[in-house]
Amino acid sequence: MQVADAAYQQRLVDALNANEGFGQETRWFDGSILIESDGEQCWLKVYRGRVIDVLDFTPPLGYTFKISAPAARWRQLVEGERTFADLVTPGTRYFADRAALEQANGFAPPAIRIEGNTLEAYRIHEAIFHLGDCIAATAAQEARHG
Amino acid sequence: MAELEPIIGRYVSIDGTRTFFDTCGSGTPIVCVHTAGADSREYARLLPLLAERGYQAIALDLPGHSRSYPVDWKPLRTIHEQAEFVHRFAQEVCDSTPVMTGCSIGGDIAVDLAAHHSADYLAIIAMEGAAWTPTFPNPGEMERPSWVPSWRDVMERAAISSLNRGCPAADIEELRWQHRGAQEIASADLQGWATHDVRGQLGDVRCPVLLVKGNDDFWLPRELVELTAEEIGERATVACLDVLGHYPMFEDPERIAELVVSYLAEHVAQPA
Repeated sequence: MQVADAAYQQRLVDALNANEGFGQETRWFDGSILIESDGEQCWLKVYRGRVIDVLDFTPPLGYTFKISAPAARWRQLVEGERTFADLVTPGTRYFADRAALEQANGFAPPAIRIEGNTLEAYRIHEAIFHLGDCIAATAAQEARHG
Repeated sequence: MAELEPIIGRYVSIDGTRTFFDTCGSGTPIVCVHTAGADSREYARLLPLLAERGYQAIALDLPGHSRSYPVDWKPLRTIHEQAEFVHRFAQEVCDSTPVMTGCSIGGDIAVDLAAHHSADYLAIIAMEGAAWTPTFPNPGEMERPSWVPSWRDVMERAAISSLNRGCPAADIEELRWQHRGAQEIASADLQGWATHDVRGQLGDVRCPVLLVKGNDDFWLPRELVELTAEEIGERATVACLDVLGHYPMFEDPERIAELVVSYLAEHVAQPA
């Protein structure tokens, strides 16, 4: 998933602007969302239900909140190995052995982190799930067509 | 005139609070406990199937959920408090020794009852529950709408994301509606899940215990179910089922009804 690639970013913007749920849930959102994968960035400016700008870097304006993960974690989403809810929820739920089980920790960081103004992120929680769907679908499309 | 369904809604006072339950059929009582932030509607599909098989199937609304008011207008924030409430409910409502079943926090409640009141049940069937469930943070700081707006979406997404992957869209929508309850109550339920720990208290379980897990569910790792079974010992049976997520009785009620009835036939002496 090349989140800084211009073609990928345009496909993602198109997918989000075609997504009825994302548009509905961000109807009263005026902010920016940074998506990061292994240091690559995709900055989305969202205003009243539409993505109105996209950049491959974080501008001086900063971001409202950031959604970031190593590429391997995004891949788990794209390939359907784990759900978005699972990936963004803190806590250990996969154990290599009994010793790891004994160290189970509900506060362990999530695989995909949401940081920044998390109160605002919670406010548009449903939109973030639509964003997750669009990220996965766009990346899968990218994988199919190269 | 429309044909009436066989499920009958009733009220009873438990701990001074008006408590709602659905009941269906007659025979050995099976008490069913719902998941976090939901209510007895989760069992609407299962109750008639158990009734058809000769049981009195009973599903209550836990305090603060749907048509049951909270006890003293406060949420119950531990699984043990909820379990003690359910135990008193079962004693008041059932006219013979019941079977106890529950799912998710209801599964944890069932395991808590195995730890503390197992002699009072014919069998305990814990779906998606375990002795210890520290699988996400204690959501105590999410209890108020002003603290976390859009809790409703958080709760609904947590629920529907853990259904089996082939779940029909209509079922997904129905499960969403079943989770549109009070924020402080659902948060308290999940506080109970996150802090629940009866490890070391399951060495003297007196009734058979079936632990059911859907393999598509990610909220409850299989290892925690196996750990629970090990603690209970020879009275425990584990059933890990494919094409099921976190809501087995809702996702495939026919399969769960058959599982429950065949398990009881094998492990419980049937009344004459």
